Amino acid sequence: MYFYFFDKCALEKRHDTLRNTIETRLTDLGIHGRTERISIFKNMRELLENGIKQGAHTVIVVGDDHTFAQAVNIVAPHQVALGFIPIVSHSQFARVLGIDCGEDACTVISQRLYKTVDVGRVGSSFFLGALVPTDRQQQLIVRCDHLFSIQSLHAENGIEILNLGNIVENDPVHFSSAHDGKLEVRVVPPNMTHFFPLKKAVKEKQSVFLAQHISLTSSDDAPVHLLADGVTPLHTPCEVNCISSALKLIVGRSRLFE
Amino acid sequence: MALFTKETEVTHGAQPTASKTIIGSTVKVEGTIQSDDNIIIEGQLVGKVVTSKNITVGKDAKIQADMQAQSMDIAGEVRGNLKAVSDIQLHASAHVYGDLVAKNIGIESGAVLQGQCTTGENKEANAVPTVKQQS
Repeated sequence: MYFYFFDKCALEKRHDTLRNTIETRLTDLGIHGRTERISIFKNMRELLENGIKQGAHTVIVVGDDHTFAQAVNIVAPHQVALGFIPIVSHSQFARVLGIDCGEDACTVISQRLYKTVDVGRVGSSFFLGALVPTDRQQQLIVRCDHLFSIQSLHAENGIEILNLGNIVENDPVHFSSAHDGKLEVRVVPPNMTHFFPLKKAVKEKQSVFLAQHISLTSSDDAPVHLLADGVTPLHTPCEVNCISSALKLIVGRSRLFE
Repeated sequence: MALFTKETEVTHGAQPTASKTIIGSTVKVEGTIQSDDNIIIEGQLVGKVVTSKNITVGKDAKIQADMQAQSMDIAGEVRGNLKAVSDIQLHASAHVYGDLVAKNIGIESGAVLQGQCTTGENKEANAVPTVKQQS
C-alpha cells in the first residue's frame, strides 16, 4: 500500500491546483493509496507511524525539504520505502534525489527506481545528509571509532559529520558515499565557502576522515548545539553511528549520487 | 534490440570523491588510524598509522608515529619507524628519524634520514597490513 502524507506547506491555498493535479496524476498512474493530511490534531510522526503500522510499504511525503528531512527521521527505523513529491521548485533534497517538482515527481515515483542508502543515527534521531553545529565557532572534540581523536588547530575551522552530504546548505560539488557503511568527518577551513570549493590552497587544508562510530563532545562546559539535516536539533555530548543500508529511497535517473 | 535493452542509468552533476583519509594542515590527530584507503597527511599526527594502501606525507606535516602501508611518499617530518610492502620515497624536504623497511627505498638529495634502512624481498615487510573491521 502506498501512503501519501501532505505536509502543511502542501496544504496552502496557493498550492490547491497543484495538489489536485498531483492526486489526479497518481490515480492515472495507478499508484494512488491512502492519503493523510497534517492537522492541528495529528502530527507528522503520528500519521506516518500509523500508516506504516497499517501496512504501508511505501511512504510518499508531499511538501518541502523540511518535510522530507523529518520523514527520514521517522521512516528510517522501519522497513519501508520513502519517496518525495516536492511542492516547491527550490527543494535541495529533490535535486539530489533527481526528482522534479510537483506533477512530474509522480512519474518518478511510478518508475519505482529504488536506492538503499546508509543513514546517520544520533540516539533515536536519524539523518540522511549531514550533522552540523549551529554555531561553527564552537569547538567540538571528535573521536572516531574509539581509535583516534581529531583536534582542530584553528578555532575558525568548521566540523561537519556527513552521510550523503550537506544537502541543506547547498554543497553541490562533494557527495560522500552513502553505501560504504561509514560517515565522513570533514574539518573545513573558514574561508572555504560553498561558492569556491575548489580553490587548491584552501582544499589542501581541509581534512577528511571516515568512521562508523563518532563521539562528539564540547571542548568546554557548554554543550554545542547541532542540527541534523537542517531540522532535528541535537546537542553534545552525543554518539553518532552509521546504520548501513537502512533506508530505501525512491530516486530519479538524474540524481546526484551513485 | 535497443527496445529490449535496459536503459543505462546516468547520474548527473556531482560525483563521489575517491575514498581516502586526509589530515589537513590545520588539524592534529592523536591515536591509531587503521584504514583501507589512501592516507594523505599535511598536518600533525601522534600515534600509529596502518593502511593497506598508500601514505603521502606533505612537506609541512609533523608526525610522531610508526607507519605501515603498501607504499609511502614522504616530504615532511616523521619520527617513527616506517614499513612498506613496496616503495618508500623520501623527497628532498623529508626529515625521517626512524628505521625504514621496504622492497625499494628512494632518497632524494637533501633528505635527512637518521635510522636504518632494510630493502629487498622480506617476508615481514611484504606482509600486506590488513585492517580488521570493528564490529
